[in-house]
Amino acid sequence: MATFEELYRQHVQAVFRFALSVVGKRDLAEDLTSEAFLALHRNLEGIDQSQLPGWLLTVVRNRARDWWRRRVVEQRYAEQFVAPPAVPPAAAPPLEGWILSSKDLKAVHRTCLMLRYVHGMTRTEIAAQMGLSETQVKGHLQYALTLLRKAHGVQNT
Amino acid sequence: MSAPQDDWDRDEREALAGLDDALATMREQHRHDPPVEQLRAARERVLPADLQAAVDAHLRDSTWSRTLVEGFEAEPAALDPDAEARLLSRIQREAVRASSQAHAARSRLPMWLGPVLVAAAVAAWFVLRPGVSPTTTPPPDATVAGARPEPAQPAFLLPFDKADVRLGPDALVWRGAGGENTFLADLKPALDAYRQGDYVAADKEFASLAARYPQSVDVTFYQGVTALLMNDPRRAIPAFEAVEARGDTTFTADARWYRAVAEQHAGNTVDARRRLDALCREARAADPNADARACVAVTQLDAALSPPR
Repeated sequence: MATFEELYRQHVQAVFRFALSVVGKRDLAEDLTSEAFLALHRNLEGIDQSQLPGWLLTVVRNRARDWWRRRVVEQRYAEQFVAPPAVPPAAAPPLEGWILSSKDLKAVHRTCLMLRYVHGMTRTEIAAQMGLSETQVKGHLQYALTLLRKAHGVQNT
Repeated sequence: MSAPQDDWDRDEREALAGLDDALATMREQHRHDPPVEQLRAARERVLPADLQAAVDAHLRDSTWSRTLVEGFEAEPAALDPDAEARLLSRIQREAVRASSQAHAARSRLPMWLGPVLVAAAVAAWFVLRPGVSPTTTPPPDATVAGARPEPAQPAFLLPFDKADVRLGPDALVWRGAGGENTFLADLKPALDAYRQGDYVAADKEFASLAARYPQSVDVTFYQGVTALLMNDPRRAIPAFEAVEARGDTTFTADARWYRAVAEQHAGNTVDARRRLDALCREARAADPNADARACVAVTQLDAALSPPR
């Protein structure tokens, strides 16, 4: 039977990644990870360790549901996203098509481009959202912009 | 989103020169998209029901938002060693504090209270004990607003083995435009993560594959098993249902078995037992001496459901 610390080392990365994916904020993901392992600490004697990491992920999922429920209530989030006004289906600019379909871009490049230049995030915000360092975000953006320059240049010729 | 250019460096300004109108159009078109953290949460099905439905509908219709989320799934975040150590010491500190508070609270209780509480619990059990249905145990999703429950599943969970990796004939003969089987190469990271037990990573990979290969029964099946291994039976059920509906002989039998397990884990005990019973009868019809896993499961389930003597 593994000790608490062994179980922590074995599962913490997976639990943290999952937590970040359900709340999208690094500090909150750390809180949820911490709560899941505290729950494990409390139940260490009784838990079937073969149920891990599923048991830990369920704690995170339940905590995340509670968090989203509170957030919706507290911030009246529904008002921010209730049946968005129908945007006329204007033809998407060629740039959008390039971002969505360029075979040279990887998924992470597309997402960095979208967040930075369309959703208006700073590199710091993107790094926090994606769990990357700012240097990594900068590198992904530089790579994508180099490709964009080439594509844009070709389109203009 | 006011004047985002203010924040751009020289490289960015140069690369995006002449694209101001295109970017402005795109910003306007996506101004009302759900925030990115909602999109990601919706993929994990943790939003309140009405918001979940709205974001699901948006994700179905918006290639932009689906692509946006895929970037997160392709680049899994990690805790660096310092953060991992810091979090461990925080947990240990809080565990010690919680333990000492509980001890202090216990020591303040009058000595006669323990036996009284035990007697009250026994009396309550006699009054409130379930008559027939064991499904009174709340399923894992039945969290109450404001409550912060531990994983609430049936007290007994049917054990199951992780499915071995194998592929159906469609996967093996799949050919892309260039005549190559790129599907197998695309599938490899997901199956590697699955084999290594990194179910969070495998789940992300399978989700991404499901968008690219919606007809792949292999992807759907392992997506379901991965969800079950992540203790998310409600997400596993539709995956197994889809595999059964496609009638692929490679996975149908296993999909029916895992579906029954997922139903039981989700608290749908009566439905699970019916499915297991059918599987058991089919196995026994083929071989009367078969020690089929479904028959074993029926016995285990019945034993677990017997009222305490």
